[in-house]
Formats: sequence, C-alpha cells, structure tokens
Amino acid sequence: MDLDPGATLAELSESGEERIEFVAEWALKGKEREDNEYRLVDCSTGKVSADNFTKLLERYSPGSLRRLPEVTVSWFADPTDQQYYMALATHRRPDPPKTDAAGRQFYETNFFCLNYAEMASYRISYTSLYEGFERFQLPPEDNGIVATSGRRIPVFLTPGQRIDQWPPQAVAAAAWLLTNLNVCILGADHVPVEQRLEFIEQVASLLPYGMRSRLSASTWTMSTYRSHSIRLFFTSQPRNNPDDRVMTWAADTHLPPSQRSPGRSIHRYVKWLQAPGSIATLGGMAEPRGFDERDVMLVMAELGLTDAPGPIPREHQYHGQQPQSRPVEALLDDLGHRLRSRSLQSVSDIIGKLNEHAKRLELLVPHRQDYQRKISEHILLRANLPLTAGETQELYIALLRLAFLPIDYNSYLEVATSLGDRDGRIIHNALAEVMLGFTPEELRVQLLLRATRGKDAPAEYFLKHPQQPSKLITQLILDDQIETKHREFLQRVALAELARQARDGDHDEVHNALRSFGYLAVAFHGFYPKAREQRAVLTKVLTIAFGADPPDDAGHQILNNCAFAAITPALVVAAIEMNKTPDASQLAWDIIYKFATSELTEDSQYIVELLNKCRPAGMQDPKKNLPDAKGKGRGKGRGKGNGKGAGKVIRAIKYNFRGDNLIWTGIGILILAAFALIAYLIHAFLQVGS
Amino acid sequence: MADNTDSAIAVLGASASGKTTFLGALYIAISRHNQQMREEGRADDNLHLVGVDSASNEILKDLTGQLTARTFPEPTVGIEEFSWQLRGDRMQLKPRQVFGMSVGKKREKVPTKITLNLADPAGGISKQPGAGGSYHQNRDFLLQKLKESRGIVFLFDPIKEFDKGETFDHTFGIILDLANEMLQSDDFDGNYLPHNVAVCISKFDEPRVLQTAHDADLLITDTDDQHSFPRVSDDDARELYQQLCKVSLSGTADLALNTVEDYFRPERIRYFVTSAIGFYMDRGRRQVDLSDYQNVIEDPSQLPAQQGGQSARIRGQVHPINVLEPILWAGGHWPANTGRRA
Repeated sequence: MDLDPGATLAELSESGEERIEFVAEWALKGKEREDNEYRLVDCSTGKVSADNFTKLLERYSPGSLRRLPEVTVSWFADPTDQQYYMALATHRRPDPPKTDAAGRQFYETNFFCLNYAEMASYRISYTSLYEGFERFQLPPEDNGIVATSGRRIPVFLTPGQRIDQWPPQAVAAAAWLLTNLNVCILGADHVPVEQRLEFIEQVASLLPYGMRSRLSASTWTMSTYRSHSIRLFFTSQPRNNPDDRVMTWAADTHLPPSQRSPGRSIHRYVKWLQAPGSIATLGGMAEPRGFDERDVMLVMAELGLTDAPGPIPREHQYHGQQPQSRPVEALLDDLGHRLRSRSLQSVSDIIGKLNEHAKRLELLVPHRQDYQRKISEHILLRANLPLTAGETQELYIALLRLAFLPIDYNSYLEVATSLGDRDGRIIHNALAEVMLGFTPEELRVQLLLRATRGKDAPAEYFLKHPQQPSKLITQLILDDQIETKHREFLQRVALAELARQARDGDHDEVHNALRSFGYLAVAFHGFYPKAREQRAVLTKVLTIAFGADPPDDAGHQILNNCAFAAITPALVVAAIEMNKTPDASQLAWDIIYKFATSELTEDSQYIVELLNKCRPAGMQDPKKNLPDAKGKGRGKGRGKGNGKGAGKVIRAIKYNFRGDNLIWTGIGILILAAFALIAYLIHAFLQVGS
Repeated sequence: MADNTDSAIAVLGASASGKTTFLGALYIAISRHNQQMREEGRADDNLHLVGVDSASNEILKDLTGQLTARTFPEPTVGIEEFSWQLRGDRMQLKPRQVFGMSVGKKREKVPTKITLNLADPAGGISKQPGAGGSYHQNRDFLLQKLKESRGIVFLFDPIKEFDKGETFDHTFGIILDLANEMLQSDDFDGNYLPHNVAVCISKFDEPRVLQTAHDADLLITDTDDQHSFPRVSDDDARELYQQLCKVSLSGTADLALNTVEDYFRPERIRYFVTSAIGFYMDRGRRQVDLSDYQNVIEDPSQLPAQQGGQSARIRGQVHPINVLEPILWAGGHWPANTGRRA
C-alpha cells in the first residue's frame, strides 16, 4: 500500500488496511507418532534456544485444554541482549488429527515470539498477531525464522471513539491488573475464542502499551491446572488463589477499593480513561513496564495521576494529548514506520522537517524525553539504515539535536540506551563520528566515542591533546559517576597514558599525582570486590609511580606516603611485594606508627612518645618521613574527612584484629567460657548436695 | 466415630501409564461398589465421591463423563490438582465385647469422610532430567506435592514396560529426589520415607498381562463376584510384578521395585493388580466371556486412514478393578471390608 507521505500516525492507524510483515522465531509443541508425552517437536534456529522454548512453553502452559482452538499471549526478556519479546501461542488440533503412541489424540501449540521493540514501534495488537499467525503451518520448510504478514490493526481507538463504548468489564479488569493481581474470568464458556481474545485486546489497550512487554493472557486455562503463571485468563472454575481477582463474564464491573493503595490512583486512572484520546495516549506509552507497584506508580506519575503530582515535570505528563498535536513525535513515528517498511520515497523530506524542528527547538527541548522514547522505540539511531550516507548523517544530526544535546556523559548513556544497549558499548562508529562533531567537552566522552575508531585512537588523542596526570586520575579513574561498564576501559586508557608520561615525560609529576591520591588504593578498594583484582591494578599503579626498578625502601615509602585511613590491605600486600628485603618488620612498624599517629587515636602524641621509647633498634622513625599529603581517596567510605565516627573505629578494629589476633581472641573467649561452665557445674553440684 | 481426615495422594507413573484414566475410574468404581453392596443386601455400606471445590467437581464430571462416553482422557499437561471427598458409611469388622471379653467380630457402620488431595502429573515430569518432556518448574512442584502427600500410588504399566521399559526412569529419580528433600528436612521415618505406597500393576485387562498371570498360575475367580471377572489376589500381586519384570524391555523394572522397597517402609507398601476400565462384558450377559474380554479397541473412524496412527477407545461398560482400594491404602484408610472389588 502506498502511503501518503504527509499522513499522520493517527491517519495511518485509522486506515486499518495496511499490511505488515511479522518476523518471528517459533517453536512447535506436540508429539510425534512414537511419543507418549508432549514435548518440543521442533523450533527455529534463531536466538531463542530449544531449551528456552521448552521453558517458555511450560511457563505459559494453560494446562490440558479440552476445547480448541485457544490462544495464549505472553512475554519474556532475553538477559543476553536486554530485549523484551512478545509471544503468541495458538493451541489447536493438527489437521488432519494425529494420535500418539498410546492412541490418544492430542493438540499442538504453535508458539511465535517477536521482538517487543519492533512490535511496539507499530503498536501491533494481539488480534493482528493472531490473524497473522493463526493458520501458519509449523514447521516451515527450513528451520529459519518465519515471516508472515497480517493486517496492521492498531491497538488504540481513533480520536472520534469514546471509551464508554467499550465493555465496562474490560475497564474493571484493567484496573485490577494494575493492583498486581491476576484476573480470572468465569462464565465465558459459551463465548467464541475470537471474542475472548478481543476482550484481552481491549483490556491490554486500556493499559500502557509497554505493559504488553510483561502481560500474559490466555483465552482459556484448565481449572485444575492451578500452578499456571498467566495473569489474565478465562477458565471454568476459580483456582482458589488469593492472588486472583475472580470476575464473572459480562457481569462483574467492580473496581478495586479506593481505600487500598494504589486504589485511589487507579480510580483516577479509570476516570482519566474517559477523556477523549486517552487510549491513543496509552498506545504511545511503549516503554516496557511491569505490573508491580513501582511500575504502576511510574505509569501514574507519567500520566500525572499520583497523589502528589507536583514534582512531575510538565514534559513528562501526557494530559490526553493527541499524537497529531505533537508534530515531532508524529514525524518520528512516521519515519520509523517508513524505514521499517522500506517506503523510502519521502524519508528525506521527513528528515528535513525534523532538522527544521531541531534547529527551532534546540535551546528549548520541550519534549526531550518523549523524543528519546520515540527514537528508542524505532531504533532510529541504529547503524545500517536503508538510507544514503548523507541522509543517515543528516538524520543522526537532527535526532541528536532534538533529544540529546549537549553531548556529555549522560547523553552518551541515553544514546546507548536508545540503541537498546544497556552495556553502552555499541555506539557504532558512524554515530560516534557525528557525536564527535558536536565537540563533547568531557574527556571521558571523547575517549568513549573515539574507541570506535580502534584501540590506538585514545593514544592518538592524547598526543594531540596532552592531559595533566591529576586530570587523568580525577576524570577517568576517581569519578564516581562513571558507569561500571565504562570504568575498566577508561581506567585502562588513563593508566596507559600515565605510564607513557612517566616513561617519556615528567616522571616526578606523575609520581606526585599518584602519591597525592594515595596510589588510588582506596578507590580500587571500592571498585574491585576481589583482593586479587585490587592487588593486580595497584601493582600497575605502583610500577608507574616507582618505575620498573623501584628503590629498596619502596614499600616503606608507599606506606609513609599515605595516611593511615588510605592504607588498604591490598596496598599493604603490594608494598610488601615491592620491598626488596624479605624483612617486613619495618613495614609493620610503619603501620603501627601510622595507626598511633592517625586521627583514630586519641592522645596520639603520648602514644608516639611511648612507641619511640620502645622502638626496636634499626627501625626508622616514621615521624621523619610523614607524608606531606594525606590520602585523598574518594572510594567507598574510606579516607574522607577527619571524623572519629564509628565506621572508622570499626574499620580500625577490623584491620587490627585479623589473622592470629583473632585466633588468640577466640581461644581466650573459649577459656573464659570453660571457666564459666565449670563454675556453673560446681554451683549446681553444691545445690544438689544441699 | 467418623473417619474424618485429609489425605493428600500423588499418582506417579510413566507417560501413558493410565494415571488420569485411573483417577477417572474412581467414581465408577465407587458406584459399582455401592451397586454390589445393595445387591448383597448391605446397602448401609456405601460411599459417595464429590469434588471439594467447583474445579475439582468439574474434573470429576469431565473424567467420568469421558469414560462413560467410552473415550480415554487426553494426555495431561503439567500437573493437575484437585480435591475429591469420599463420604459415606463403611461396614467394618470390629471385636464383639461380651462382659468385657472379645467374642468374635461384628460388622459396625463407620461414618467416613476422607478428603483426597490428588496430584495428577504428566508422566514426563517424574522422568529423570535431560530425558525430555516438560521438566523444570513442574518437577519442583511435584516434589513439593509428594512431600505433602500421605500416600503415593505408583502405576506400573506392563504394556509400556514391554515396549519401552521406562518404569525405572520414572521411579528411581523422583524417589531419590524425594528422599534427598525429606532427608534435609528430617522427615524420614527411621530409615524410610513416611508414605503409604500402593504399587498398582495396571492394565490387567490387556491380554499380555492376563496371559502372564495365567502362566504364573496366579489367576483366581472371586466366587462373590457376580460377573466372575478374573483377578489376582493382592497377596500375589507382587509375584505378578516380578513375573512381568522378566519381560521388561529394558530389564530394569525389577530395579524400580527394589527402589520402592528400599525407600519405603515394607509394611506400608501394598501391591494391587488393577484395571481402570476392566474387562469387556456383553450387555446381554451377566458374566465375562474369557474368549472375548478385551475392552479397548482401535477406532479407525477417529483418524483418516493415511495417518496410520491408531486411536483407541473403550469398547463397552467400564468395570474398574482394584481402583478404590489403592486410593484408600495410600490415604491410610485401608478398610477391614470394603468388598473385594470396586
């Protein structure tokens, strides 16, 4: 079908005649002639493994169905790529009928799963999926991913229609689902499967589209199959589950009580549904959402329906606006659709319009998050768009201007998220180059974006743009805002540059910078849970600071250069390893002396005098080498401030009562306990005797 | 005093061993039992089976309806759970007291109300991991159900054992897992699992089973039985099991028997030779014709000829043999006298 290039999203949706291609991975559950048991007979050879298909078919099984066909919709999340999938299962008798090894007839389940983001970009309805896959014969000739087409039936009403034309029971069911209860519908045995599926469709349409990423529903479940995991289901008898809200078909329209949280918000929600355009708004809310209280409250907040609507930014509130009142979003939807269906005639016009909007809005960015959501839904910043290089670049520029400027670390993360990448590692080179064109100021963003050019790119950048060692340390290593997924890369780059500077430039400046930050020991203590990892990276830092051939008293220097609170166990080990002499008594003395002179110890002057009096022969007086810079670690919990808080005391105890000390303490406690026991026994004996 | 208790019972067996059919035959078994009691002038000895909740009542009607319509239930998916209540009066023999002394026995009516919480799992769930079929969360669920159960009905299907030899696969793993779970929670009864176990040799109406019993000289005819159905005494049921083990395809059926006897207290294990549908009997006759007794027939009308599959159906009336007794045994309600058959 040729589309009018100027058509808005709503107009496209209204047509209802448009066909769309569904691409799905599939599985077939049933039996072969020699089987007794239902099993996974065949499945596609895509991303979803046979084992996972088996689990999904089991998780969303409606039990032993007696009447067929029936339909189940469900979902799952792929932890490997953080993608959600929607699934449709049709249960029907094979045509012609088949029997198993025991001569029993059986039914087959055809299971199709589709990428949620793709479905969300078209607001694909369950009805549409059912029409597309209802008669699809599995298995296909090859075991590849299947593609079929169906009518594109939008999930939301056209603006002229009103919610009060819908069955009130659908509204009640949607409201109960928002309380995180299952909804069980009885008394619909006589209702055709298509009508029950339509009801499920209506209920889902009364919720944000994003909840389809977590909704499971079935046109039938076996009443004695009580352990099923389906959230909205028809059945013949209730299963006596306290998490089920039981409703009778076409009769029960009771809403959740308003006294009960989140009942009050839900009543507001039901009232809000009556407003014109509410369903269209819900159709536009495609960010994946669950049914737990947190997600429901987020939905309420987005709609401005919470008890305290004040803090919600206006741009996050929908107020029942129509899509066409938001031209940029309509253009983004239109563009996404055209790129998907490869109807590319007017794409350059749309990109031009987007650029015009972007230039106008650049300073205002009134709906930045809404645009980001749209860009994410259609994955418009992806690589390999079916456009020329020039058009692609122009589109990237427009989208970045609309939703992501200025390019800083936060917007870098937002762009990565819009690409569906929670790891933030796959901002592709073409997009990274365009982002670099906006000249990001932050060093870490420059390096992350340049990483797409190759492994030598950071070093080349530093050659052209030399950086102070302290800046490298503070911006690339110590910054708490850096996401864990980027930390390793940035730290590696920073240490490589520090090593280069120490080797080719001013070694003392590098050493002083590292020393002033306590050799980063506290930071690494916070970043790395494993002592071995801490020691490995600390050894690298100390090698940079002291060179490949450290002085004989390197360990002594290390400990003396750090405040007591900045000395971590890993640093002690690293210091001992740096020491060329096997005798670690000087280091032990250093630590004791550090403790005595630290802020942890009251009346430290007196203790220092005592220590000096009993200082063993040959031990250096640490006072002569006290550091001029205290540890400036910024890691978790250590080295900050000068307080004498309980945390520091506990840490001091922890670090001082280790190993042998603990053993001796334990032995002491045992001896005391033994004495107490003996005393008790003597006491008891005397009492019995008297 | 009313016998008024809840008894959770799980039914285990290989795929297609007839677990659902066995449970479906319970209502008919009770109905036939009551009929016989009335005909023997012991109308006071009667039982009724009802569903405890609406879902359980529905499955009771559904399964019974399928058997009376002479079709077998469809294969189970997952685990079906339902609660049936066995109510009524049973006549039990009790010592007659004369001047404080026991003098003979007398029949006494005992009001009965037994709730049977039944778990009917698909056969594949009890199979060992990696052997295919649905396994994952249902396995844990089944183990939980077994832990909560007072009794277990093991269905040993000799026909499947002839053809596939899967009994050991379906008993060994699940019993070991159950023992492991209960050991951790100190639910062991001495060195044994605490359940009552009814080992049912099913499909007694199949020619190969009947022939094996005949060849081992274990067949008897109950003189009290108005239809003269052949039977194997409960005391000989274990012997029949052992005879059948000799023709097991895998040769591991005897290991299944050993596993049951190793893990459960011997006095709590009882063997039954059962048939959920019983022997065919022409409506015009009062007694079974042993030259024409097969009650399962192939029904080519259910499938197109080109499919080549065989759809089985029930030929005539259903006369369950030893269906009520294993349930009562597993539930800890073994009666002194419920009649020899049900």
